[in-house]
Amino acid sequence: MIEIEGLTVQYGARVALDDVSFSVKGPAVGLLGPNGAGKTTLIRGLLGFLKPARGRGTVLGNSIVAERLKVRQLVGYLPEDDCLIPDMSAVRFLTYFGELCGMPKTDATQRAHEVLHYVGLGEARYRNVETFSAGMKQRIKLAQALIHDPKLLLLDEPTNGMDPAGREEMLRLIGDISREKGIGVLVSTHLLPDVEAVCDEVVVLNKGTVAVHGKIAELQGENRKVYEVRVQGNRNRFCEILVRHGYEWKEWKDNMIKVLVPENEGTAKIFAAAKESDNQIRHLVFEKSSLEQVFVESVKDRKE
Amino acid sequence: MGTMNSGLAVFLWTFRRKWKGLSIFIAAVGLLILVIINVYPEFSELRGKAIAKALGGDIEVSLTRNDEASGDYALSWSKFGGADGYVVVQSNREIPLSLIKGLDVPQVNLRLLELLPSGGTITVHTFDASTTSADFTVAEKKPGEEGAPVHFCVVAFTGSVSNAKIEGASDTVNTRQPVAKGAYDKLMKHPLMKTFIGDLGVDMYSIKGFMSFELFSSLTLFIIIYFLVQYGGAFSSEMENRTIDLILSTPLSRRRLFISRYLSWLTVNLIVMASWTFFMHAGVVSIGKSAEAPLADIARTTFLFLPFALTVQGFCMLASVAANDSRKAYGITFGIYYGMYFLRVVSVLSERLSFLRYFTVFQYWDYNSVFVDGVVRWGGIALLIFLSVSLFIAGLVVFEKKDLAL
Repeated sequence: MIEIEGLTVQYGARVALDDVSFSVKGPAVGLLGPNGAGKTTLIRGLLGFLKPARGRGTVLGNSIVAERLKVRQLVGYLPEDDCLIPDMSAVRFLTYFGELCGMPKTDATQRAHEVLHYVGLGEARYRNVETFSAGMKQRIKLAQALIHDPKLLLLDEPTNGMDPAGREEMLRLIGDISREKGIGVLVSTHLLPDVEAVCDEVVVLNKGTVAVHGKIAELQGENRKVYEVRVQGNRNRFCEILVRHGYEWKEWKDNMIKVLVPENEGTAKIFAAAKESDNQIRHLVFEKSSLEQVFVESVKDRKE
Repeated sequence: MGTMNSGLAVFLWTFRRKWKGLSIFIAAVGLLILVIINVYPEFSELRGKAIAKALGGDIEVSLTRNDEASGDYALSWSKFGGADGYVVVQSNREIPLSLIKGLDVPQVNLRLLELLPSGGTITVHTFDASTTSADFTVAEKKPGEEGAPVHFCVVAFTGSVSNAKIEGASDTVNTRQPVAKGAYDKLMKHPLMKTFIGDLGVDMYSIKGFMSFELFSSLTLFIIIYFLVQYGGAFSSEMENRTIDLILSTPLSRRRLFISRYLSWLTVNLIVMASWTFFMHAGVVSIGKSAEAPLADIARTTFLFLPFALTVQGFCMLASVAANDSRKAYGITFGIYYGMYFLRVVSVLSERLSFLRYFTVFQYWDYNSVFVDGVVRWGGIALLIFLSVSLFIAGLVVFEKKDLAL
């Protein structure tokens, strides 16, 4: 779906993307990262808005530099900003964008009605777009991205400013688009649950570089065997024995530690280590790692 | 087919977006054209007489030099019936009498006469109605100093000095002289007049001269203001509010977007020019002067406005794509035109700096010669076309190369 190799984008002297490389197949990919990580820059680079200083990339097999227009023919874009054109009804707005995509006016108008109904704005289609609520604006931007029946959607913070019900509905739509309509989706967001809800692959950016990349199930799987442990007694001795058993551990809150256990093993060695070090286990909880932990840890590691 | 559709959509949409503003502009300017042309008959009768009167003197003024060594002068003037007082304007350079009388201001603060642009030193002296003579001492003129050694203008007024009505005036040059042949031309060629109306070598009492003076000079400003306001921030405002991201995320190339908009604006230009032709012709017909200002002459002049208008359009588009926010774009375009206007004023006021006029676009669009004399200065037109094409290409290159950063 998207292949990037050594992509570097600079704003003057500031490097926004530094030697970014990854390849994603989709159908739904999350693009995560803290503010300023380079997510929006990456999307703008994929659309050909920015000239890379180095590197190359393809979207659906088309070069993001040499075949920009072909890329845009195949891609729909939902920008983060509130960039609607005022004094236009929703249907007129979408018809205009359909025409910009090369559709004849009648086809564009018909398609505008269809996508407005699809995103749940059928009743509001003759209202001017500037009168829309934040949630409606996000939905009409999604409709605009869908107007020309693209093969891939680039969604930049699609649930931004939406209330919980609106957000849920937007995520349902994105899920439906990627799973039922067969359209690839790249969701850039800082809301990790959004990515967990609709994506099967994630790229985490931090400070313009790729911090983590992989299938969500695998990333979560790598950390599934994590136990929160609190012992009473000689904790240092307990930890030394854990290491001797080949386990990693990390400090956690409230005098607890996190013990990373190989996937094919259970808790036996933790109890053995406690016994050997004359410690009592006061707390032992299996922790199902969320994507957030992967994200936080990967970003934290980079910062360190 | 697809790209043709997208270009056409941009063309039509750009046009539709500005349709309301364009309609108002056309209607307002059209109305103004009709009103101004319908003023012409009255102007040629009354205003003509008033200016002719202003150019002559009303009071007999005599100046004698009492003492060659000290520069003592005796000024005397004849009584002006009904005057409440006299003001004597003393200057070391000649002040055109027409500037004092011809401006036809009903109520004036006579102290303002000190501000008249004589290029020399002005002193204003006030006398009551009974006084008809006064002595003055004038500093000796330095060797090589230009201008009259001394110049006095006597103004008879009613009311008070701070709220006077000028009833009559003469000076030591024009005392009770009949209106001299060519005096009107002299007035028109005065630097102050040229600053406002250009180097107008036309007879303003003919309908063509009048239209040139009253209409085409204003229309030049109108077309500049209209384009600056309507289009000065067209691209930059879209970059500012990110609408450009949405538009360019479609398969529409920047080149096609730019050219489509350019053509749309060009169409607006042509509509404006056609409307001017229509309204001017209607106005001329309404006062029965269509034989003196035929439709063909009007149409030729208004449509030859196009190269000038395209330079305005070119500056607007270039600034609009170069700047990332609309305030900057407006600032750049206003600055360019204000700067050129300033250069023009300076070049008219100073012979030494007259070469500066070649750095302004106003120099190359001579509507007077086209409309009044029927002579098209193709050199100037060609230069404007070259400039507008250059601006178009520069705008296109800047837009295509521009990174749409965050």
